[in-house]
Amino acid sequence: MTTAPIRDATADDLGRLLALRRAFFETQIAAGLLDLPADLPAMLERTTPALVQGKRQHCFVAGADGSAEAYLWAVLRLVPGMRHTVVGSIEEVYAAPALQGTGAAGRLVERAVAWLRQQGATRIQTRVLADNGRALAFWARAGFAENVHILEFASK
Amino acid sequence: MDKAAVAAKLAEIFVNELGVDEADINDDLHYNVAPEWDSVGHMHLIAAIEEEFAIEIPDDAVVEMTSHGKVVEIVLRLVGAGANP
Repeated sequence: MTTAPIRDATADDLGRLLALRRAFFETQIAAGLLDLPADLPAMLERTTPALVQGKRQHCFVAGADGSAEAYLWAVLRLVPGMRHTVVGSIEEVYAAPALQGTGAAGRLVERAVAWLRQQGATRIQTRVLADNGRALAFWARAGFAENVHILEFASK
Repeated sequence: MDKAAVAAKLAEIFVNELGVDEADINDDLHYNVAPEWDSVGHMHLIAAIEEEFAIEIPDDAVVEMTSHGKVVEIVLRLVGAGANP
């Protein structure tokens, strides 16, 4: 199996990124890991261009021969009122079935961590639901450890 | 663009990017007090403002934008709008 190269996403990837993000959201929503946005297609149309054009954020893609079969979206967050805190956040990472199990997602994370550090991130975070064991294992392999806990009121 | 036009555009951006109810927009609307205005929302807000006004907001100013009032004040400074409409 050849290793899919990783590159920066460009405006030429927008159509493919829309499809990959839609697959990401649909997979997460179907698994009960994300809430359904009011209008998913409209939200994706509105927000996806910023992934490749926006400042303080970066999108990487992986795929053979210039294709994009996996993506990762990283964002630098400057926190209001916190002068020396720059939080790097990995917002979304997804591999289409063709690249699942190939290590592409892990290599996207490595590339994103390097980019976020280069941009001055003092902390690098992502968010995972506490009962998503598969994702927790993935992030642990990538060097991430639990730090912040968000407690939700569990009504009976 | 005068002050009133800048403020109106910013109100539109707050509604679109943060989902804040227009009736709740005032100078005392603060980061992290409005539930929709978290650190991720803040970066969406900044990106939308930069695009709308074709300006580059320095990192220091991004950090200073702790309330709607501060956002208006900083954007007015960056676009060089007059103090009066």
